[in-house]
Amino acid sequence: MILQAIFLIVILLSSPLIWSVPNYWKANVMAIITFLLLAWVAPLSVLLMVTVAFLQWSVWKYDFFKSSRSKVIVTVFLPLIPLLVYKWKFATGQWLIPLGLSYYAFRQIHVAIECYKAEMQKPTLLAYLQYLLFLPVILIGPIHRMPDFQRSQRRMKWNASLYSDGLERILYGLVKIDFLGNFLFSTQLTQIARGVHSHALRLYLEVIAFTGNTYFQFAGFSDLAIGAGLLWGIRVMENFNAPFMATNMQDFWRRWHISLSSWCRDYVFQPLAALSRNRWIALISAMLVLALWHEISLRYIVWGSVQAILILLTVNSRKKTPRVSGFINGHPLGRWIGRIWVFHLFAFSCIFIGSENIASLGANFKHIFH
Amino acid sequence: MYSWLLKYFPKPYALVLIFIWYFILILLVIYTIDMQPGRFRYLHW
Repeated sequence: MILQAIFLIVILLSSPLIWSVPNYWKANVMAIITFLLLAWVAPLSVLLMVTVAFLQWSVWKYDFFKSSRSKVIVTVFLPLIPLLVYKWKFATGQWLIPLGLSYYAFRQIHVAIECYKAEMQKPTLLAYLQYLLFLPVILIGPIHRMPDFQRSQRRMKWNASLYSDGLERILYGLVKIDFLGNFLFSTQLTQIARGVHSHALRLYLEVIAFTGNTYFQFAGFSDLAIGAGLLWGIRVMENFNAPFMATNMQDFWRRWHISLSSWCRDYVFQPLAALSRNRWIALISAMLVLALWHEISLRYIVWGSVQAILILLTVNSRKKTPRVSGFINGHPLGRWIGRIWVFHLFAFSCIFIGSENIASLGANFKHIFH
Repeated sequence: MYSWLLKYFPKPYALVLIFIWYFILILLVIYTIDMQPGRFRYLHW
């Protein structure tokens, strides 16, 4: 939070400078500010980011590799290797993960694959660094896409209402993080839960508190990123779209952490579904990648598998019981039942990631059914 | 975002309501940050 506050203050103070320089220089100034701040707070992170970007750009620019398939394999593995090494070392408790590595590594993989698919032109080194060195999204995402960033960059024009939208979004983000997340769900609800004698009810309240706090923290930080982006004149993609208003798990994953779930859909699910001709294998793989992105650990593997199974069950139940599914999605009462069901499914699947080890997981489940 | 307010209130009143809304939100943020452990607790009375 302190780091996020420093980033926000820097963005706010530097916004008059950004808006006073000519359009061509705006993106360069943003990248320079980000580079200097990151070099101060997380030099290893910025070194890793710039080195990988330079190596990827060299592969695109110079023909070290003849076939385009070799090029894409190399440019995907370049950011993937440090990501896997650091995640693994973090999981074993040896190293800390460099600031924002999980986010910018996925951005670099996105650019590598889009260039291979010829969906976008191979970027110049400067354009690529401008995209990667964008301060509002460095810390907690979203994993925004390069074509969207460049479109927004081209359309940059002073707009007072956009600027005030940005300030308002930051205020809503702070309310979500501090009041709804930290105060209401984390502090107050947890205190209420501690006073309850029944094990099952206490665990139920703790699960609700954990899920509510996770949502408001994450959605709040996404709001801060979107608001800060608007202060600099760049529209950043939405990361949450009222996920607990989803009536089934498939819909939920279209609304929760949209930038990551759409990344996994585009770069894991769709290629694997096309290659294997089996969308269930593709779905399980995509959910596992999504889970392991958070942390390389058994509990996240289980959590990702559970999410995949819940989506599979949703899709199958739609075919097997069309009348129930029609009621859940079509009737107002059914929609509310669906929303409550989805919230509880997701909240209780979070017990896997909230449990430190297998023993505490077993104890948690024992308390539910005790 | 707040254009719906203009359906029910004249513009000056709507503006006042929006400012009160922002004031409450800012106060909530300051209050909840302030009351976290290890903070200054200026706002505790």
